[in-house]
Formats: sequence, C-alpha cells, structure tokens
Amino acid sequence: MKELIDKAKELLKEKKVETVIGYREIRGCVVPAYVDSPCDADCLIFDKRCVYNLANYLKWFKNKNVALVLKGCDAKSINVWLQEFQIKRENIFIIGVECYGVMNEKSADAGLSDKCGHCEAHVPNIYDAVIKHQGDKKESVQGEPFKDIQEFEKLPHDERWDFWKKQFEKCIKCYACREICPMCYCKECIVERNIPQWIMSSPSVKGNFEWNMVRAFHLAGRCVECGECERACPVNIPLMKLNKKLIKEMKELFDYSAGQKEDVKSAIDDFYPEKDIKIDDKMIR
Amino acid sequence: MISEMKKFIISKNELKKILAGIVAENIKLIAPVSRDNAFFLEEVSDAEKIAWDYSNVVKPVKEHIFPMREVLLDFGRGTDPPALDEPEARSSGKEKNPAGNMPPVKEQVIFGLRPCDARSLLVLDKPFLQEKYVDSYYKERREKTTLIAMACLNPEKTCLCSSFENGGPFSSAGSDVLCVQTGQDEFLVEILSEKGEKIFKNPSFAQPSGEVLKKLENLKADSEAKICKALKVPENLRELFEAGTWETESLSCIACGICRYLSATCYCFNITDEFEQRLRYWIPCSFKNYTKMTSGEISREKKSARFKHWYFHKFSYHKDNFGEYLCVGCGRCIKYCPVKIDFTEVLGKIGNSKQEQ
Amino acid sequence: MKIGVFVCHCGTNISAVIDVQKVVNDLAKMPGVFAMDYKFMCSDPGQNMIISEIKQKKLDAVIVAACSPCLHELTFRNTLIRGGLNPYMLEIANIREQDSWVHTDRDKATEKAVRLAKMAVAKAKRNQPLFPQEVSVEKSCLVIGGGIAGIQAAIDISSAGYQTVIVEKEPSIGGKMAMFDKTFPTLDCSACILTPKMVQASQSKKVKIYTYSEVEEIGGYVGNFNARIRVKARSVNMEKCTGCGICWQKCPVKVNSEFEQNLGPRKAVYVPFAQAVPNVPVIDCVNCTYYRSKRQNPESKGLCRICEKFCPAGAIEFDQKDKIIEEKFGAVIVATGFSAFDHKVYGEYGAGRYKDVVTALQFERLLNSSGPTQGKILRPSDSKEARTIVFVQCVGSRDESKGVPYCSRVCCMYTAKQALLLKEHIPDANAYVFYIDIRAAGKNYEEFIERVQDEYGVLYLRGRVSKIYRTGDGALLVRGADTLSGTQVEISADMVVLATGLVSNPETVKLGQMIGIPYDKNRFFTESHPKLAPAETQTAGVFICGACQFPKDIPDSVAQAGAAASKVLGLFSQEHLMLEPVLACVNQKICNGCFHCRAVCPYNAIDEEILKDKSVVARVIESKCHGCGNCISACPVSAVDLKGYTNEQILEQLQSLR
Repeated sequence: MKELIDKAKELLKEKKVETVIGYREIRGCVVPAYVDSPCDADCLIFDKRCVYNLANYLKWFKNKNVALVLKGCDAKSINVWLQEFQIKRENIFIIGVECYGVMNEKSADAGLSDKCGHCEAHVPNIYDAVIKHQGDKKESVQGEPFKDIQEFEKLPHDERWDFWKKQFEKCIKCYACREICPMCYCKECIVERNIPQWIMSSPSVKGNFEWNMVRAFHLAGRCVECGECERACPVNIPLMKLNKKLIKEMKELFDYSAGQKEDVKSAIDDFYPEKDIKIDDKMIR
Repeated sequence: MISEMKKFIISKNELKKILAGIVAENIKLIAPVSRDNAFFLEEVSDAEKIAWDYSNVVKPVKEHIFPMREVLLDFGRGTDPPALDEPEARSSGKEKNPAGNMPPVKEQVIFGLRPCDARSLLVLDKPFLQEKYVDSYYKERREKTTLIAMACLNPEKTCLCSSFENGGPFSSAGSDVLCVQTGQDEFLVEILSEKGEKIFKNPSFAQPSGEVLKKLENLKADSEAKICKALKVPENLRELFEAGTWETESLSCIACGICRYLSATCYCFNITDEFEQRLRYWIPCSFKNYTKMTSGEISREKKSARFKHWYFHKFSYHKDNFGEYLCVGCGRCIKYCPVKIDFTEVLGKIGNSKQEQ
Repeated sequence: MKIGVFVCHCGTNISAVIDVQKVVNDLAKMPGVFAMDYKFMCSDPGQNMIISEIKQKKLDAVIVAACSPCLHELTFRNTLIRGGLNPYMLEIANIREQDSWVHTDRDKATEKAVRLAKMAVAKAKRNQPLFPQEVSVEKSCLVIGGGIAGIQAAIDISSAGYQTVIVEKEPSIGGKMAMFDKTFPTLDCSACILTPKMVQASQSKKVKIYTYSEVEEIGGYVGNFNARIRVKARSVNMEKCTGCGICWQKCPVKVNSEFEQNLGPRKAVYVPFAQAVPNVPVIDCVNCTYYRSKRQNPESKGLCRICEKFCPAGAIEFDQKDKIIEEKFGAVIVATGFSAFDHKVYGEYGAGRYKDVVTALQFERLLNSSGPTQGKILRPSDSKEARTIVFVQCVGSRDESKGVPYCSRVCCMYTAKQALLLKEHIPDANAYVFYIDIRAAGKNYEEFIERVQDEYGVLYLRGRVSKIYRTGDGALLVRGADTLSGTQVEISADMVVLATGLVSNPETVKLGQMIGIPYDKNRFFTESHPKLAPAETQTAGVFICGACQFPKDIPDSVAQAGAAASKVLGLFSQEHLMLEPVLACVNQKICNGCFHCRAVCPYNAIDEEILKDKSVVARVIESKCHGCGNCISACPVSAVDLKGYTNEQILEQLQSLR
C-alpha cells in the first residue's frame, strides 16, 4: 500500500492531478475514495474487496486532471473511452494495480468473482504507473471462457425465453446497471428519449426486456466485462450472461475484444479499406 | 369493531391452510417468494410456494398499493397487439372512454411483510390521502388491502426501525394482523383490526399460554438488541443546506434509483402518455430529467444537488408538511446501495459540518 | 394542418387495377384531409388543379398518389412552388410501380393504395419546410488520368474557356493508346491520331499537365474540391531540359521497358516513347546506379552520374524532391483507364513460362515499327520470324472461374486487326484465330471482320484452346477444338497471341475510397445510371469516362469523355449550386461526441464542434451530406436525424398502418 499512497501523494503534491480516485475502508467495507490533498492519501488501500470499477467516475471528471486506481479489467474501460473520444489521454494518470482476483460480494463463501476466473489482464494494458502485487499470485483458470454461455445456448428456445422472462419480471428499472457502467456515459439515454419514444421508459415486463436488450446491444464490442452491473443489480438479474453472450459473438464474428488497445478503432467503426477489401492481385498485372 | 385484542397460537400448517383459503375465495394472496437467493412479495396461488426463512423482501410493500407502473387512463385505439405481460391489460377495441375500461382492483391480502413495511403505509397515507386531495387510485387499493405482518426475529445490521416512535421489529403499527414465530412450528397471531378478524375466522385456536407470552417478551428484547443503527437527524439541518460536505459526500454516489425505489416510503412519480396510455410510474429524484421543465431547464443539474434533495425531502420538508420523517428505517437504501453509502453516516457528517455560504 | 391528397389515374396504368374513387373516398374520411383524383396529374391541367386547390383550400401539404418519385418528384415540387408552398411539403405515394403495376387483385391492390396514401399523409403531418443551401463553384476541373479519355475531356473543357488540370501517373500522357500500332477499323496509326491530341492538350493555355504525379487526397464537395497532388521527382529539371536525348543515349544501365511490355530495353534515365508529352526524361531511382550507390552509402558522392556529365543543359538534378501541389477544383473527372489481364493463371497456356506465348499488347509492340523489333514479327525466344501465329480469344474474359465474368468488348476487333496486320507484314504467314463468339458491334466493324477473313485469308476456328505446349523443335503446339466441323485441331505455331481481357486499374479501390465514389464487383467505377447517366457518379461533381468505367474502344472512350466534359461545363455554367436540403442534422444537446456517425459516413460529412462547456460534439457539413442516413442508424442515442425523413415521420408512417 505504501507504494500506492506515495504515488498519490507525489501526484497531488506536484499538482499533476486535482484528485486521486481510489479505494478506502470504512465501517469494515471498501468504498470509493476521493483524495484532494496529499495528507488525505493515507486512506488509500487495495485488496480483494476492491471491486468497484472506478473508471465510471470519469463521467463526473471530464476535462479535469485526475488519477485513477485501476485494475486490469477497469483499465480496459479507459481504452474504450479513448476510442470514443470521451477523454484526453493527457488528462488522466492511471495508477495501475496488479490484481489476481476480487471477491464476489454476492456469494456466501466470499469466493472470487466470476470474471476473475479467466482474467488475462492481471497487469492493466494501459497505465502510467503500476503497483506490483503483494501476496500470492493465483493464476486464472485456463479453458473455455464462454463455457457457461455455450451450455445455456444449447437449451431449447422456450426454456431460454422463460428464464429471461422470469428475470425481467424482477427488474425495477432502477438503472443502477447503467449508472455504474463506465460505458453508459450518454448525456441522455435512449430510454429517456421521447421524441420519438424508442423503448418504454416505464417498468413492465415488455419494457424491461426492451431496456435490458437494448443496453446489451449498445454494449456490444464495448463491454469490458468488469461485472459491476450484475453486482449493482438489487434483484440479482444475471446481467453478465447477456453481456458475455455478446462478447462471445463479437469475438467469433469479428475477432474483436473491447478495450485492448487505445489506438484501435471501436468495433462499430472498425473498417479499414486495405484490410477489409480483398483485392485479388492475380487478376491484375 | 373488533371484540377484543385477540391473540392465539397456531401451527405452520394451519397458517398455510388459512392462507390457502384466502386464495380459494378468489382473493389475491401476496406473500414472500424466493427467486435466486432473494425474496420478493409476489402473488401466490399455492401456499406451499411461500418462503419462511428470510430477513426482508427486496422490494418494499408500497408497490402493491402504489404500483411501479399504473395505467391512469387508456385511450387506446384498440388495435395494438397485446403487450408482453402488461400488468394492466389494454382495453380491447372499445372507443375512447377514459377510466371506464380499467380492470377492477381486486381484494388482496399481503402476508409476511415486516413491521417496518406495514408502518410505511401509514406514512404514505399522509400525502396520498390528504383531506383535500385524495389519490383515488391509492385509496382504492389501500382499502382493499389486508396486511398480515411477520415480526422480525433477526434484524439486519442495516436496520434502524427502533429509531421511530412506533417502530421496532415487533411493532404492530399499521398491520391488520401481526404474527410472531415463537417456535419451530408455533406462531403467535395477534388480530389488530376488523379486516384481520375476517381472515382468522376460526374461533377454535388456542390462546397463548403464559410461557409463550414470556417467550414473546424475550424474543422481542433479543431482536431489539440486534438493532445497531440509529437515526440522528441534525436539528439545524435546514441551515446546513449550503454546507460543502454535501459535495464531498455525494462524490461516490452514482445517481441511480436504487435508494429511491427500494425505500419503503419514497413516492415520487412521473405521469406520461406512452403508447396510448396515460401512465404513472416511479421516477427517482436522482435523475437529471426529474427536474427538467418544458423550457429544457433542469433545476437540479448537479449530482450533489440531487443527492442532497433526498435527505431534505425525507428529513426536512416532509417533516414540515406532514409532521414526521419520510422514513421507517427499513435500511434497504443502505443494504442495496452499489457504492455502500450509509445515509445515517452522511447525516452524521453533515451534523458535524459548519454552515458554509 | 390541411393536407390535400391528389390521386392520379395515370391514364389506365393505375385505374385499371386500383379503384381510384375508393382511395379518394377513404382518404377524404381522415380529419383535415381533402382528396380528389385526375387522369394525368403530371399534365398541365393536373398541376394547375393542384395549384388552385392549394390556394382555395389553403393547404399546408400535398400528397400525390401516382407514379414513382423518380419520375415526377421534381415536377410536383415545382408545382408546389408555383402554388406558394415550400417544395418539401410534398409527399409522393407510389401506387403505380409499387402497386398497380405489380399486383392483379383489385381489392387488395386498392387497399394497399389506401394504406400507402395514408402513410404518406402520416409523414406529411410532420413535414417541415426545408430550404436548399447555395454554394459557389470553382471553375476549374481536375482530370485524373492522361489517356485518350482524359486528354479528350481536358480538350473539351478547356475549349470552353475553363481551366483544366490533368494528373497522370506515368512520365507521359497518352495511356495505352500510345502503345498500339494501328487502330481498328480504319487502320489509322495510333500514335499519329493520338499525338495531335496530346500536343493540343499540352499547348492549350487552359490545360495544366502534371505527369509522373498522383493525387494523394481529395476533400470537399461539388464546386469546392480540395486536391493534394504529389508531383514525383523526375530528377530532371523540366524547364531546362531540351529533350535532346543525350542522357538516355549515354546511360549505361539497361532494364526491361514497361512501355515495350518487357520485350525490349530502356535505360535508367528514359523517355517512355519517342512522342512522349512532355518530352522530358525521368530517372528510374530503383535501377539507376547513382541512386543505388547512394542508398548503400549515403555519404558518398554517388557512382556513375554520366547523364549529368553529358547533359548540355545541366538539367539533371539528383537532389530533386517530390513537390506537393494543393489546388481547388469545382469538378473531378476520373479517367484512369484499364489494366491488362494477367494470363499467368492459365496454366494450360504456359502460365507465362513460354516466351513465345505473348499478350495482345506485346504483339502490338512487335507490330509497331518503333517497337523493340522495329516492326518485324520476331519470336521473343530466338528472334526468328514468326510465320505461323495462333490468336486465342477470350483469355480471361467471360471466365467466371478466373474472376472475370464480363466480355472485354474490344478483343474480337483487335485480334482481327492484329491478324490483318500480321498478314500485311508477312503476306504468306498463317494466321489462325480461335474464338467463341465474334463481337463486332460498331460502325464498319462487321465489315472489317469479313474483310480479314475473306481478303486476308485469316482462318477463324470456333472453339477453345485446351493446351499450348512447347515441342522439341522449339515450336508451340496449340491444341484446340473446331466446333463447327466437330473436330479437334492441332496447330504447330511459331507464336501464340493471347487476347487478354481488360481489367480494372489496380488503383481503383484506393482512388474510389479517396474521392468517395463507388465501384462494382469487377472494380470498375459505378456510373450514376447505367442507361441514362453513364458519365456521372453518385457523388455530385465527380464524373467518369473511358475504360475505368468499363472496357470500351477508342471511339466510345472519346464520346464518353465528351459526355463527362459536357456535364462539367453544365456545372461550371452556374454561378451557384443549390444543394438538396434533405440532410442529416445533429441535436448537439444530446450528442455524446462518440463520433460513430463520422466513422460510418461515406462522404466524410461529419465535423467536430466544441461547445461553450468544452464538450466536443458532432456537426454535419451540410454541403457534403448526401442524406444517406448511415449516421442516423449508427448513433446510439438517436441524436442525429434526417431532415425530411425524420425518425418521427417514419414511426408515424408505421403507426398509420396499424
């Protein structure tokens, strides 16, 4: 922790950033921390309980100089933000943390979160400084990352429809999934547009289907699988199942994963004439 | 007029039979049901599906009197295809006839709600059933609802119902019937109103023995001891409106709707016309669009303003208008907040801050 | 809002299938709608009827239920203008091409017509008046490609007094036509008819020619294109050079000449052919000894430098750099021509291994008296005279399996011409032509073919060649079929000429993406309409002509060049252009600045704008926008909408169907 705290103090002292956003502990649990001055930086911690994707808070810190404490999965969000022109690279200082898993808050046995199982980003792929891991490094489980999706896809259509219907009956349209997702940064969400009204704003099974499916589609090629939406959902809808399905499709159809590099175009915009138009050179002298 | 404060003992099976009887009389029975490790108050047709081992349901009971989505008027052309499981069915092919085609509100019995939820309806009655302005939709459902509360043996660490005058894990305020599980298969039932009497018509239930009553006192004391949180609203809250602490406390808030929707007492809603229906649906004051006016102006643009407003509505404005806090201490806002904001902590910090210009 | 619905009978085109009266009656039942019918709405009385109803009933919008808007949208827009309404308050319901012409069931067709008209009414309810934007026109034309088509277009435009710039990739203008010997059917010497045109273009004060140059970037829109041209370094000063030719005579390096189709040499400093315009050589930096030595050892003085030593004008400049020229143009003509099909894919014809299996272009050079063999028909392998020559037609063309499904149009004629010229050179030579069909659809073309067979005794064999292989004595054995006599034929030939097809220029894709014009699956540029607009493209201000649009012969290229030029002149004759106002527009309050719209816009019509609160949002460049709607689909928050086809309008149309 000393390394992390020292880095934060250094950044604040030298006025490189206005705020350092990290994690701190209070009442026995971990919450987001906002440190404005060097003397407050002592509260910063990093351990298995640090589940939050702090990149989300950039929504309220655009055009400001901030430092963020980011795990590998969270740092991918920054790449997507850069691809979509939402921040300038020089405005953020990424304090990457080497991470080997965070806990699943909703499981009874405090096991690791599902996303940690096949993590390939123990060290963030974009950072300005990196804090090495203290403690034992538990390597991720190798194997098929989309196994659970493939199993689910094998079920008959009616069963799958029924499953999701039961899930969306629970949805209360609290939009916590949207507010905690770094990728949902739209000034006015499509669900709030009422001229014309594209999808129902009010909660009902049909409206809940529309909302969750539209959100999943709008995240296609952009979701970095941080899992925060599923964690935030108060009624335990398995949102990551939906998102992972689309992540799988993007991988299979376009060989594309979100948040890999900052200089790659985002999936929807990804069209390179030299790469995508095949010219048969044999034909032409 | 109930004859006397009736208390009696029944077994779980007998209780289940009575609940099954309610269903048989074509009255809607709403009881706790388990869905993927979480509990919800839902309509049940089979008493066996009722869950018994829960701390509290996720969604407060207000949704059954003041639904999340309520059709106020239907001016449909009658040509729309039926929507997927709409809670209120569209009128079918009838010409424009406002309010004439709403399906009737059924009698309902809500079983298994906790005392905090039962009290929440007493709190909500004040704004919805004011002398001059009666909300007829709320009134109809409220009158047709019977509440059978289940006392709380194991309050959670986020509960703070005892901070309220008539609150507590064994409080009978607001319910028609209060049940307490005094043993493995033993329930002490207390009838509190005429509505409650109608449910438990059988006079042959046993009266509670002195031993059972002693057990009751002990269980109550144990339960009350488990409540570790208290509400302390700063007396000069109004003067602390401009305190800078609101800004810092609101930083981690993500402005979703969880605390508003899951609060047992929040009741703000929006009315819009959507697809040929006039709807009323819950809307959290945490959203920017909540204060958007026709000019496009948004009066609570900043997140800290929206964060602050919730506190002021619950602990200042509502007190001024209706003489009590808009809170029953169910603690759901603390339990389900995705970033673990505890409003009692916030109020504490505000109380310690100085008034700043 | 008062809407007038005018239903046309179109004589009996519509009324034969649709009950027009019923359509009128059903529409008239809608609130605020007035409906009537007429036999020919597009006629003068029909239009006057609309105008008088607009005035009398004070209509706000007009629906015309008639034929396709392709035909009369403009007509009725003008009608509305004369009636005092904004022309974009018009909606057309196509009840002819989309209804009466494709259905036979009277009841259902009438019901469909009613629904189509109701949809148009639903859309018109939300129509807003739109106002076209005016832009100025730069009276200068860019011609990309200096072959016969490009030269002709430049001559035509400049003769009307407007500035033209030709950008040609090769060191000289002239294109493929400069390589030919004689042209069919007149047997004019190709260079003799081409060079006067080349000279006319180069001497015209209104034509600027950049050779050995390429267009790097084109931005802008019709009337206002910005082009960046790279004039590559020739290493020879164009002003000083007199064209004396001493440099290339003295140059010690010999390499294969591309102009001679690799049948003859050129020097490292060279002029591609004798009549090159400009007659200024170019140094081939890849093969020149000086440049090679400089690449190996940058510090050295460099080897050779003989050309520099001998040049009397001191025109050799080894340190010459590429020049970048940026100019504004009002129109662009693309005339980039064709490439020859590479016959190496035909293993049965030797896959390019046999030196004596030559392509048609190679044979042209052999025929040409200024070619590598001075006009003698000599075998490339042993320089012996070729007395028996087999011509194989349709090599590459009409062969789906080799990727060229189309007919290259000119090969039948040029093969006949080459056979005739062979006979002129060597009267007792044997010439055989293997063909599938003979396509001689031009003026005097059929007669030419007959003449070649009758007068010159060229033998035409209808059948394909299955194999060509070399026999022990150095001859080529050609095995083919003669389907008219039903036999297999074997010919021992000295040389085989393959009539290779015409395929697209390899730069087509890059150029198309750069300028923003579409190309088809064969990578020829796509014309605006194959019948009625063959020289225009979908992109306003960009025109095409010559073989880059599709293989064609010289008269057609020249004609199409004239067509493109006339379109450009039509453009330049206006002081201002009116742009279509059906454009996308961004609601900047909602825009996130994610720029998915910019990524999918084919016309580069989205720009950035920085608002007062420092957020960056999208802005549509109206003059570039074509109203295609890609951006509207790509926007995740529906912040972009299309004026004239708003989301709300389309949803209203759908709602009206329920």
